[in-house]
Amino acid sequence: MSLQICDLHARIVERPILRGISLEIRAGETHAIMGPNGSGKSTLAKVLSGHPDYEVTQGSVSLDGVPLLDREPDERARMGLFLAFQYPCEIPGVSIANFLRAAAQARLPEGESLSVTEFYQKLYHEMDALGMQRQFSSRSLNAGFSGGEKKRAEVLQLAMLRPRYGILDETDSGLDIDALKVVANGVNRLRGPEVGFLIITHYQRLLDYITPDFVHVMVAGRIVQSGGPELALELERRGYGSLEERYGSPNLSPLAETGV
Amino acid sequence: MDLPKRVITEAPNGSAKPAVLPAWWKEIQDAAWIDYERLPMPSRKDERWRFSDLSKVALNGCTAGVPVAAPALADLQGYFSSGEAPSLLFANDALLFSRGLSPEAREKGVVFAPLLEAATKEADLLQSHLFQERVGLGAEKLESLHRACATAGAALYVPAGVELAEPVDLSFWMTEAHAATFPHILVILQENARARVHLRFSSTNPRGGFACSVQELFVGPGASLDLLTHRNWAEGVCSFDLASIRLSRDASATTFQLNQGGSYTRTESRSRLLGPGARSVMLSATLARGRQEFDQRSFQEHVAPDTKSDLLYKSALYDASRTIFAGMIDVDPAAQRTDAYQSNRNLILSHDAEANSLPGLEILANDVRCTHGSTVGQVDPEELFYCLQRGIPLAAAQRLFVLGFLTDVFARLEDGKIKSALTEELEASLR
Repeated sequence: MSLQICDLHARIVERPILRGISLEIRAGETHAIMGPNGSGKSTLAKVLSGHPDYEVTQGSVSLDGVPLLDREPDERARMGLFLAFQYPCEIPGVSIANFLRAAAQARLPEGESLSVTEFYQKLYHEMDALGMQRQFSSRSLNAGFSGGEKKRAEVLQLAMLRPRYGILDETDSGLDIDALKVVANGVNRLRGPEVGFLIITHYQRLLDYITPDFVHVMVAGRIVQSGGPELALELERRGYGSLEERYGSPNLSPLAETGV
Repeated sequence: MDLPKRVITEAPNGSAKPAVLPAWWKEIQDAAWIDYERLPMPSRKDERWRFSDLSKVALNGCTAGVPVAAPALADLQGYFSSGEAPSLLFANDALLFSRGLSPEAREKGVVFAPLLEAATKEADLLQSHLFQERVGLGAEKLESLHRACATAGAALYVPAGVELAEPVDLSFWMTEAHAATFPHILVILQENARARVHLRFSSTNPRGGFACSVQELFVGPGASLDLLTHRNWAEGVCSFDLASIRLSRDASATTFQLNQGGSYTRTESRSRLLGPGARSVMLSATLARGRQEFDQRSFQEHVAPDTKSDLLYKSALYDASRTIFAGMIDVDPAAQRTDAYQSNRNLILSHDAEANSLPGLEILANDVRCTHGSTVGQVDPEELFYCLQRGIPLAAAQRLFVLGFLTDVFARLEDGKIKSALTEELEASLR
């Protein structure tokens, strides 16, 4: 059981961004991808989830053995892929509860309808666990939310939808330390042998609260270094400068071709 | 466009009608026939019919007085008995069911009666108000046709200082595809009176029909009227609903319409702010699907100073549907310190759908605040992707957006029960 990415190349318009990413996230593992701005971290998240702006030019991705890239974004989500957005959209007029009901309903076999009572029990259970006020669920999704509220709403959705693989795209950006802890605790609660996580972050800070099993460094569309949690600390000390100097050119990439 | 001459008087029960009409009404009717025949057919060359698909404006052989068949009668009985409010239910212009006012309301002098009954029992009141207003936003010929044919409908009269606690329900149905209906709604609120009216236009048959209704709403000094119209004609129905509301000093009115169904639906809404301090809120939420066309024309007429009008019309368009909004804010030289707002927003869900928006202003006073805006847009691709990423399929995601977009209009209503009933109804029809 794994989310397996093999030699993934992708571009937006004519500009190549991913230049051969290979990575396997097994169920139960938490991987972190770090890297400087513009290295393609967020692009990887969007390509995996099927954002229409990006075109895959080479490579494959499979989720528990099932090819992913020829599926529509909503099918990928129902297969068990979840993306916590860096900038969650505001959807005026659609309450969090109604949005999640639609998402839960979409996961039921055709012809079956959601038990509203059970849905709300589950929703309130998860909200309690995240320390959220219940009336939060009747607010329009992300509309007028603070940065912290948006990220909490993402984690609530993650908890409600229980994906097989969760991707967190810069979930720490714009969060103060208290909000960061709430979000991290929310994610830690969901970790377990059945779930894989990919945490995309610029800073090491989030990894103080969600300890990854593996850390990868991405530069110029490739993974240039992989290691354990200690790698994150090292990067925090040294910065990305020397790695960018070494791997910044698309023509030089010892690791991308072999696949780490 | 086919609107044959005198088709209505040739209808099966046409001969029965004049017998029950008072002389003054009969005179109005005869004059209206002459007007109807004299007035030109709507034309695309007329600015007030710009963008309208006139091929959809047709009587299609529909006639008044079509009998109501037993199964439809049973359906309507079921619908009627589910309510509790004072109400009148008409089908094909025949009054089928009625539930009167509470004894308290009657004691206070409130009148809620079918027009024909009111015309004899409250002759002076009706004679001085009925057919006195002209909406005149383009459909004059149809308005005349209505006058010539209308006998169904209701009068609501609330005397000075009386607050009608319960809303009154009025519903007009068509049960057959060849039925025509000409409902008339007359509301007279005296000084500081208060009333709520729920109006429904609907069909029990799934095909066609022709409807031409007129609303004359008189809101006296300091009086307040809430009027909610739910329009859901069957596929194939061509309908007109022409409304004029007169607001005296410090009067206020909120009119709301939820539009669904029909083939061609034209609404003309005129708010006449005649007394200082008058206030009119005009709201509309339209769900357009298939090949439906909703043609909405509005007129915010500021005659007196210190008046306020606020219009919000929103439409969600699926498939090959079309909408037209043409609104005008008109400020007389004397209407200083007018505060007028007009907003038309359209959400397009299909490449074949078409929204036409023509906001307008004509300001002859110098100390005013008037703003208008219109938008025609599609679902934001990033918002759509967000929904898809949560596993919500495209059609369900679009439903969410439409619901969010239109319930934003419901949010402007004060009555929480109404808001949730409307939301439920919209949700059900989107399912």
